Amino acid sequence: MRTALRSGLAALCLFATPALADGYPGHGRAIDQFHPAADYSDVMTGRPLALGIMRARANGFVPSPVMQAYANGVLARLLRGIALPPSFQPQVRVLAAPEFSALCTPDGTIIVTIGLLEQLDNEDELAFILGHEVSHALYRHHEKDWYKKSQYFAVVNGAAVQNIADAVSRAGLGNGTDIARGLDVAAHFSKLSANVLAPQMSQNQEDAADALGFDLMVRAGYDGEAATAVMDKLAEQEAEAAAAARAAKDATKAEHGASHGGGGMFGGVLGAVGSAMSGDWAGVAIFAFDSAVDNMSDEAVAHHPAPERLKLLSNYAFRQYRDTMPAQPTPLPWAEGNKSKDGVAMTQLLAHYAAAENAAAYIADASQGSPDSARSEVTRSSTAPTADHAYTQFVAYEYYDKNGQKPQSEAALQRAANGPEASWEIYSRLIDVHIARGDWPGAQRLMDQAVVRFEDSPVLLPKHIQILAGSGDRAGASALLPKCKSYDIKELYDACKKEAGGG
Amino acid sequence: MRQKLALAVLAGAFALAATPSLAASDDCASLTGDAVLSARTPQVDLYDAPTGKRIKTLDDDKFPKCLAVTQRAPNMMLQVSIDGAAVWVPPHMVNYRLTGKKPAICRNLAMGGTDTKVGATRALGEDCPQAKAAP
Repeated sequence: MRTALRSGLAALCLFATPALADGYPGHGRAIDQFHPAADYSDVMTGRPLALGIMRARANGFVPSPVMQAYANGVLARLLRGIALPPSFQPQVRVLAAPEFSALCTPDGTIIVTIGLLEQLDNEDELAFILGHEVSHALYRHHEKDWYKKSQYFAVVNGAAVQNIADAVSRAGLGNGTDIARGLDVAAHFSKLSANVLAPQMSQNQEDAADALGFDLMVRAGYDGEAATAVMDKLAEQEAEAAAAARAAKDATKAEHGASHGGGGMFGGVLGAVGSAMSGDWAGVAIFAFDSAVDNMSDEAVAHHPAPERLKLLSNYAFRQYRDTMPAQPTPLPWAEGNKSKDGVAMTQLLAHYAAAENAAAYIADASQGSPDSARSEVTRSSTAPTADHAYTQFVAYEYYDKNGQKPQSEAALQRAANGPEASWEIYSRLIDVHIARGDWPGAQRLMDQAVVRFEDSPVLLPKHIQILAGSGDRAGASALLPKCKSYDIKELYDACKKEAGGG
Repeated sequence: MRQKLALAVLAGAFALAATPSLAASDDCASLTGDAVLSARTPQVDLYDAPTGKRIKTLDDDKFPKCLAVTQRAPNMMLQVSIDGAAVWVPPHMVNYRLTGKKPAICRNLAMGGTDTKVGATRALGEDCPQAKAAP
């Protein structure tokens, strides 16, 4: 009897469907239960603003039609044969940021970073990532206030970096000092982490996107195991962020006791500014860095850790796809042996970005390279096809600036500004160059261009006010204050008031 | 002193990057190198090749723990030895541990370098043969 009971229980266990989270379908495949909206026109109207917000982040988009066409081709393969309304027009854009990240804006614009492309091992991994991201748009996961939140993060983050830079400048610390370099690393890292993180989806939404994204990739003939590889890569990023946060916290405690603990991103920023005002430069660096990594690790937890997602996805694959796996992965166009024209072009593009990333690593930390290798990498990444790309030229600007080669550093900024996809970072630095030499009309000309290129993003407003006030147009500067206030972002309004001379 | 500490913190935090890929809590401490630790799904399918045929299925409680990985396929399939036979298991069905430095991403970039980038981003071309002529 006992044996029979045990056998019965064992059988139940054997055939019981593994428990899945709420975002997964209770039975069957997500794709069979998916019903697209009848019309996506409403979200499509937000595309210019979404692109403007993304352009103002990191170093903007990578202006590579061939890479974009390739990524869009993978997306098209995923969606082929799915009945979708004509108003749903998803697209892929590549963001010039070195970390492994992807996101989707409400209009179905999928952003993948160049760092993500570099670290993929096959097209199947890209397919899962695109499938996951496009699922967010198909399901209309974005909250109504996505645009406002995105602008908020961009503004607050930009203000934090600017505050730290201002504080360093006021203290008379030049670029050649170690602490200024450390601050630059911290500020850069903080900015990148915020670029990647906000705003996020709920756990159920992530699970639902994992399930539908997985269905799309397998249906399109891709190898489902690639999803496992992607989750491993995500898990590794999360583990690194958590380890970095722990190390920063431990070091902070060792030096300062418990007084610098926590505070999240914005608390950290306030702490950094407070430390800067009191001349505590170690505190500034630690706060800026700590808050960035702290925020990243916190978000990673809130964001449904990759190992948990992998467990759920594995059980889903076991339940629904046992007979369709494994498959042979599709090589990337830049894989070894591909001599096609497009493959060679994409290989060259990635090689130049990789060179610029390596140079950037040396600029941030001289132990990661050598002067010779950095010079060669900057020279190489400053030639076609990336001679006017914002990322490669921003790295060139930093490299020449660090070496005190002002004409070369300004020329790098100018090349990027004249390029097809200049970032706000490029414009902001170039405007600072004009301001430093008292060329207010030149600064205003650049700002006029920036307003058009970045869809009049609120991120631009404090700098715009600075230019107007600096050139003596106090009335013009004050006239922009109501616009600052209209976004209902305290940090933005404070920054605007400060630049107008009233804060 | 404080300035140096701040930079040390930054550098140290970036350097804490070499975390091995762990897909589950690791109870196979005595086994070094890449390992399949245990079953993840209720059953584990065994294949004769990375994209081959399913030759056997084991219930999770029958699936051996702590198996050394003898090969990794491009599609991530893991080769292990079970009862003396070399078989391939799908990684989504098992908990595994992949250790050591990640393989270099060289592809056809012909752009190797000797510099090692620490931090979250693995450098494309890192540890690859030096290029004779840059593309």
